[in-house]
Amino acid sequence: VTPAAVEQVAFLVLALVAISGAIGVVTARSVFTSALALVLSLIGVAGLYVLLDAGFLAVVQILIYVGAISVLILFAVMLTPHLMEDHRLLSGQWALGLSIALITFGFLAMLAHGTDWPIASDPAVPASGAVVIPADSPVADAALEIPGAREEPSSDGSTVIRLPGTTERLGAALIQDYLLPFEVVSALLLVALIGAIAVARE
Amino acid sequence: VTIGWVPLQSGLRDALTAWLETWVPPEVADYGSALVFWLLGGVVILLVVQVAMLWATWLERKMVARVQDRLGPNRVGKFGLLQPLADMVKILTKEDITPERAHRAVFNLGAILVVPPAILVFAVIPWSASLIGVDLSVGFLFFVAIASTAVLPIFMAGWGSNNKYALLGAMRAVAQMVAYEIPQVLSVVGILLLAGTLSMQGLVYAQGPVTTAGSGFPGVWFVFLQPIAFVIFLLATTAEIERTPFDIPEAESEIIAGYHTEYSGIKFGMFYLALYFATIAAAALGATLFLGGWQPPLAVLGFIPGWVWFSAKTLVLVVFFMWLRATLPRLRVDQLMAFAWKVLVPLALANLAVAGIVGRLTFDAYVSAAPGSLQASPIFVLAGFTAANVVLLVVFFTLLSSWRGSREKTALTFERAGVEAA
Repeated sequence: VTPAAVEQVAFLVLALVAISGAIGVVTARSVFTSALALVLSLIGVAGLYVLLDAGFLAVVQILIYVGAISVLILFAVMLTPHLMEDHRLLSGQWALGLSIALITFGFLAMLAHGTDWPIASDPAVPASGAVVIPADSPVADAALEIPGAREEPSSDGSTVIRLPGTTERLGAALIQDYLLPFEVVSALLLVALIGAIAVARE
Repeated sequence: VTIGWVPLQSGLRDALTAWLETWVPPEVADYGSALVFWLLGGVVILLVVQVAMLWATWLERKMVARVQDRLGPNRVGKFGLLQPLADMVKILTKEDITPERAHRAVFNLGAILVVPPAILVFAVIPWSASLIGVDLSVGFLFFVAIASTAVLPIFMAGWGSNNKYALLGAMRAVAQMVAYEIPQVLSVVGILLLAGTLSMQGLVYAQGPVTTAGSGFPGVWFVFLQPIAFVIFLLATTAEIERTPFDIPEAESEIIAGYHTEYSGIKFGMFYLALYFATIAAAALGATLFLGGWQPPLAVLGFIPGWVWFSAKTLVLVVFFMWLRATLPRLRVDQLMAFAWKVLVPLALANLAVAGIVGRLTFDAYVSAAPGSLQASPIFVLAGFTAANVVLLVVFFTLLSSWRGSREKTALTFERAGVEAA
C-alpha cells in the first residue's frame, strides 16, 4: 500500500459517487430527487478537487454548489407548478434529446482531446502547499515566477525560496495577474444582482 | 502550553506501528496506525460533543426555567442532572411514525443527514495548541462550507414529509440560513484579513499571548479589535442555527413545528441533536475567532491547559445563546429578512473596510516600531481600532436614522401597492 494506491482507491470511490449521482439525476422520476442526486454528484467532484490538492476549490465547491446553487435549484423546483409530481422517465422527445447529448459529448471530447493542455513546466516545482526550496535548486527560476514566491534567509544562513500555499497563490493571481477579469466579473455579478431585484420588484 | 498530548500520541502511535509491523509490511502498518488514530480522534470528538450536548439540554431547561421563575427539571438525580439520560431513553423508545403519503426515502434521509454537518465542523475546531482534528489551511472556509450544507437535509425533511407546515418551515429555514450566511461570513472576513490566514490554529495564534515567534501580531483578542464584527457574527449565527429570536422556521404559533412537524421518536431526536450540536459548534467558532480560542487571557495564566480556556469560552457563548432565547420574543419573517439585508450586510461591509484600512496602518506601525516606543504596544493597535469603530458606529447610525424617514415612506408606498393589488 503506497500513497499512490490509496489515492487511486480514493479516486475510484469519489468517481463512483460523482457518476452514480449523475446517473441518479437523469433516472429519478421526480425533479426533486433529481436535484438531490445532483448534489451527490457535486460532492463527489469536490472530493476529486481535494485529491488534486486544490483544497480551496473543494471547499468553495461545497459552499457555492452544495450550499447555495442546489438550494436555488430546489426553490425553483418547488415554485414551479406541476414539477412536484412524478414524471415518466422518457418524454416523447427522447430521440432528439439523445442525439443532442451525443453531439455535445462528441464535440467536447474532440475539444478536450485536441487541446494542448498547459501542464506545469517543471514537475519538480511543488504544485501545492506552503513549501520551502533552496535558492540554488535547479527549479529556482521557475519557482520564483509563481506569484507570491519570495526569497528569504533560512536558519542555517543560506537563501531559500518560500512558496505560498494554493490559497495564497490563488489570491495573488486574482489580485495581480487577473485583476481586470476579476473586477469585470464582479461588476457583471453586481449588475445581475441589481437586475434581479429590479425584475422581482415589478 | 500543552498537556503533553503530542508526545503521548506519537509515542502510542509508534508503538502501534511497531506492533503492526510484526504482522504486515511497514507501509501497511504505517497506514494502519494512522487509520486507527484518525478513527480514535473522530470517536473522541464525537463523544465529547455528544456528552456536552446532553447536558447542554439540561442547562438550557434549567436556565430558561430560572428566567421564567420555574424550577426546571429536578426529579431525576441531584438538580435533575440525570434528566438528559431519562430523556434519551424516552426518545429512543417512542413510536416512530412515518406519514403514509410521505416520500419515505427522502423523509428518512432528511433525519439522518441533518446531524453530519453539525458534527463534521468540529474537525477543524482547535481545543488547544495540539488538540485539533485537522488544521486545514482553509479551516474557516471548511467550517462555513460544511455548515452551509445543513440546509439540504432541512429541505429534504420539509419536502419528504408531504405536509404544508413542514414545507413552509423548510422554506423559511432555508431562506433564513442562506440570507444570514452572508453577514456571518462578511463579519469574519475582517479578522481573516488581519490574521492573514484561513487556518483555525493560525487565527488563534494571531490573537493571544502565546503567539508564534516573530509573527508580528499584537496579541489582542479580535473581539476587542472587531467588536462590531463580533456583534454581527453573534446575531447572524443565532439566525444560522435557528435559535430564538430567529426560530421562525419552527414557530409553533404559526406552523406547528416547521420542518420537523412529522418526525417522532428518534428521528425527531436527530433534529434536536443537530440543533444542540450546531449551537455548541457556533459557540466554539465564536470563541476561536473572537475570544482567542484556547489562548489564556494573560501569559501568566498559561499554566492552565488550553482546552480549559477553550471550553470555558465556548460555555460562555452557549449560555449567551440560551439566555437570548429566554429573553427575546420571536421576530416576524419580513423583519428578519430586512434586518439581514438592510442593516447587517451594509454594516459588515463598512466594518470590513475599516478592518482593512486601520489594520494596515496600525499593524504595519506595530511591526516596524522600535521596541519600547508607543507604536510597539498592543494598546496602540487597540486605540486605533477603537477610534475607528466608534467613528463607524456613529456614522452608520446617523445614516440609518436619517434614512429611516425615507424608508418609512417607501414602506408605505409598498403597502398601498399591496392593498391595491389585493
